[in-house]
Amino acid sequence: MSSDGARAGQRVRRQNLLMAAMVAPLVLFIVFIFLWPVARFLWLAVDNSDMTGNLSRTFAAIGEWRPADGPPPEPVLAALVEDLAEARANGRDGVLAQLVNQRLVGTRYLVIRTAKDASEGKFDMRPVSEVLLAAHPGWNDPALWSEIIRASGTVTDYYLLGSLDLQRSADGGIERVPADRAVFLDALLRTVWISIVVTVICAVLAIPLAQAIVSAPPSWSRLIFALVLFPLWTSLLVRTVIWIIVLQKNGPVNAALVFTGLVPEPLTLIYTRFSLYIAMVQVLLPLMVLSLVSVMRRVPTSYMKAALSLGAPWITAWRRVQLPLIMPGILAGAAIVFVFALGYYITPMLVGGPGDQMISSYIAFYTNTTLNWGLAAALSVQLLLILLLAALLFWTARALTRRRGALA
Amino acid sequence: MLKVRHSLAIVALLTASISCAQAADAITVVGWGGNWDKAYKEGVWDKYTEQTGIKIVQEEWGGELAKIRAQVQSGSITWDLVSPEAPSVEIGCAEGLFVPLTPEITGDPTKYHPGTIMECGVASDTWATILAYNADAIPGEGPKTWADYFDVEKFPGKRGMLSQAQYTLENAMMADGVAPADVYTELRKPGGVDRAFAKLDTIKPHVVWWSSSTQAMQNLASGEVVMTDQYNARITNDIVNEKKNYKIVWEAGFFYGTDMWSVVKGSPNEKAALDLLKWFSVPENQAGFSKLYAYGTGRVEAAEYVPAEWLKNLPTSPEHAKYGATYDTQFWVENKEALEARFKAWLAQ
Amino acid sequence: MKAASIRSTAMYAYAVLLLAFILVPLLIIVPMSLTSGNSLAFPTPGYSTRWYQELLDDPRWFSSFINSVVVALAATFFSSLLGIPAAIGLVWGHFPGKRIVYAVVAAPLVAPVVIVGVAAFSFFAAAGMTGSLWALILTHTALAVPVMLTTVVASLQGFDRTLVRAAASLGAGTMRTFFKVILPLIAPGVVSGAIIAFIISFDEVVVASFLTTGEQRTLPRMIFSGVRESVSPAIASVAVLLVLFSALLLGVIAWLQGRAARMRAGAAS
Repeated sequence: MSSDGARAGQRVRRQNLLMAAMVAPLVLFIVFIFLWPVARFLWLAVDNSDMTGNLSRTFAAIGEWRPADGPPPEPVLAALVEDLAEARANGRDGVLAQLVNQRLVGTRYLVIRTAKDASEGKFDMRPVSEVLLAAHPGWNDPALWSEIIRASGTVTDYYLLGSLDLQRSADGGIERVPADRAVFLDALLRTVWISIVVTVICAVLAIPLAQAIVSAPPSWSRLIFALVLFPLWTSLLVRTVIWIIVLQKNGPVNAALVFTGLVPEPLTLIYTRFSLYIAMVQVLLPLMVLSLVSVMRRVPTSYMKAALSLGAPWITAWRRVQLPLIMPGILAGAAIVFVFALGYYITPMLVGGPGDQMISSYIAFYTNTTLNWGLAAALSVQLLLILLLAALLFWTARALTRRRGALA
Repeated sequence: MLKVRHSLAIVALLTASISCAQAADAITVVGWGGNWDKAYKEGVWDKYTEQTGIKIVQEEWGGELAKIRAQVQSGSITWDLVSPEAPSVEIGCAEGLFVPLTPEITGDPTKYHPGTIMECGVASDTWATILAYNADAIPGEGPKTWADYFDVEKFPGKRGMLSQAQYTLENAMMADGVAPADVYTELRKPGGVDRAFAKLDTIKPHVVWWSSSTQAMQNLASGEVVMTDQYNARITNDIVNEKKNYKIVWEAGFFYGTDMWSVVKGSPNEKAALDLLKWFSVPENQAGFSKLYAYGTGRVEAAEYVPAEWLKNLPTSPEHAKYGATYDTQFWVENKEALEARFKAWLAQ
Repeated sequence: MKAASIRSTAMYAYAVLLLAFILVPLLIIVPMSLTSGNSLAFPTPGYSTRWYQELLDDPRWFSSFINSVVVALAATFFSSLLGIPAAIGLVWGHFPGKRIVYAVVAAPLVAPVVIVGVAAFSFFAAAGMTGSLWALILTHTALAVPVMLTTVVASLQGFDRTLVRAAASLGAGTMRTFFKVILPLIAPGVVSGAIIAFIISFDEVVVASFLTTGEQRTLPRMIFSGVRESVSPAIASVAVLLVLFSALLLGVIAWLQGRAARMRAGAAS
């Protein structure tokens, strides 16, 4: 008996091991093809190895020397030319020059040219200070050396601070960047604001629609529901492009407005915040309806009927009885819409104006156009944190409404 | 078992078709797309293929050095000959992304227009960003200066403007009374950039921003804007081919820049691409592009192969060149990232 | 009662209005794409199929379509390969950490797609894989596999495991049991999941815009660069074709689900 049981137990264990083994490839795939690349990219937000790796001798030679002590001493400059020659040999001088130029605009050519001269052996003599400073006087600039010294850590907070319009001041404290360089806080607030507006519009529009879907006779209900969900099957890009066509100056909407005499001449509808809201709502509305309907279908109609039979006006009954019951659906839908909206990129880019771009478009800009991957990664970290925060908020709100529901 | 074999066949098929999508035995040339590519194909590349039998595959890009850096650093290089703007060639050359060119390839460097030959590139074309207006929308006396362009009382109507700092700040400085040759001196002074932005503030509500020249040309055609900044060949193209009543105001002042041909270091067809460049450095071969598209060439003698009547449309022709100045490569290499970020913030305000 | 009927009429009127907002743009571009003019002005000056002809004539549209199909088929294949066994393991197996597995697999669903694209670009560039379609296929597989997994998990939940034991006791091997017993029964779920996976990959543009250039360009990538240049009637024609394509695939899924429901009903009776 007992050996039979043991054998059965063994078989179950082996079975479970097999099942776990069937799950493993998928998990490994996601970890290696998805999570690892994302983590590796996000790490660039604090990674400083392009600085420390290419200027290792210079940082070692700098030691306790500070620009305030006087001009850069010979060992520092000698280490510098060795570092730059090596960076050029490795093809890293361009990256290094870009990084230095980000911190002090106007130094890119200084670094590139010094590296080129160094690799051609023009600075092989020792002492080198006099020749180097005569050829490239830019290395006399105390501001440049302050920036280099500040960038000597293995990790850097430069990009994370930069993504919040902050920087390190001369004494090492944190300060706001000058107003003309402040870009990202505005973009951040704009992104959150657009997402909130879209979420609210979606909720307000979807609630009556979902109500209509659940209270219609079954065949109608299915039809309306299918039609509402149909756009989910068409590509986001196509739906966005369609809005450009529909809202353009000589498009159907303007034609109708002019034809009916509502406006004397075509309006500028496209490439505005208005067109962005329209397009985003149309794209995201089905998701809101989907989560509302799935909750509403589970809510018994008897509560509403009871409230109405007790003589409550319909709207009061709905607000006091139905709304709390469907709140979890609203919150779930809002969470989905809000989280998706935060990451929008294609739609703002194609139907929004220059003042309607969201964080994602800045991430793409710094990745593609200026190659500032550190800043792109810092902005990505920021976006993911907001996303997590939003998810946490919705989760808490849902837990709270649940508890209130249970108490009532 | 049959099904397993089926799926194996599918995998094999997919693998085959995926590998097929990779570059074949031909030189891959990366240009600026649209009519630019078309003119290069008809005026230059087809001739080369005809003479040598070597196939040329055209691709287009937006000049992002990022893409080349990614290809070179990863070692999977699919582009052979690319056309970046001069500043990018300078940076890419310093970084070792491009092959340095010898006079054996380029011919005598002194026979090129200034700025059209560099260590790692020879000019593919010299273009200008000019002021143009629709003479149907502005009958009679048109704008003469960039100050007129910024004057919405004198010339009512919307303006088209490229939505980036590069080129736009220069136009604003000219509108503020700075001569083209002095623009970068002024921009480099403390407060110089502020001055340009202050000037842009005055026109902001009247601007329709564009990011592709096709958009800008559509806006000019539809009357959405009455004048616009634009690459000169786009305007000439529509005047000649579509009989549009547009005018280019060369005398308002303009800047010209140069796109280069550079060979990507380590490309599988490096040798073939260098041979192609050598062939291209013959003036007559270069002229094939300028004859079809109103941009200037690198070699001075190439002008001899361009009809005199058409030569007037090129920014490098003597009658226009005196109003122009060249873009300052170094200024933009060092300031681009900071100024474009500031410009984006300014636009969003 | 009268108030109630007014209310329900108002509700339906509202539903129709909102449906119009959601659907009319998808319909109105059909006549617009059939314009004989050079631009997308409305009303259209006349009708012709010239812009559809243009799509056929331009080899770039065709080759980008082929690329999209290849990538989407490959991504579907790989997400089935990974997703189906994983779904079986998750539903039938008893082992710790299932919640973590679900969380890991759901990550591609919620991550902002720009971050996915940028991360994939820097990763595959370092790996030397940006020159082929493989980078795109693998990333699309990661984006599609969560949906594949959920649909198969759902169809397994109503599955009677005694059938598997019966097959095993009759001497069928694991592979044979899988192909002859399990797969046919969960087939509707697998096919629905596969179609959705196909659509996810086929429609995806952001990752494609980071990972592909020139000859590897996919159809959405082609539309995207076309739109940024100018919105031409050719773009509208592609849009119409893509909407029709989606409708077709949706029809297949609806039919499959109807069949599955009938089969279940038949089995129950």
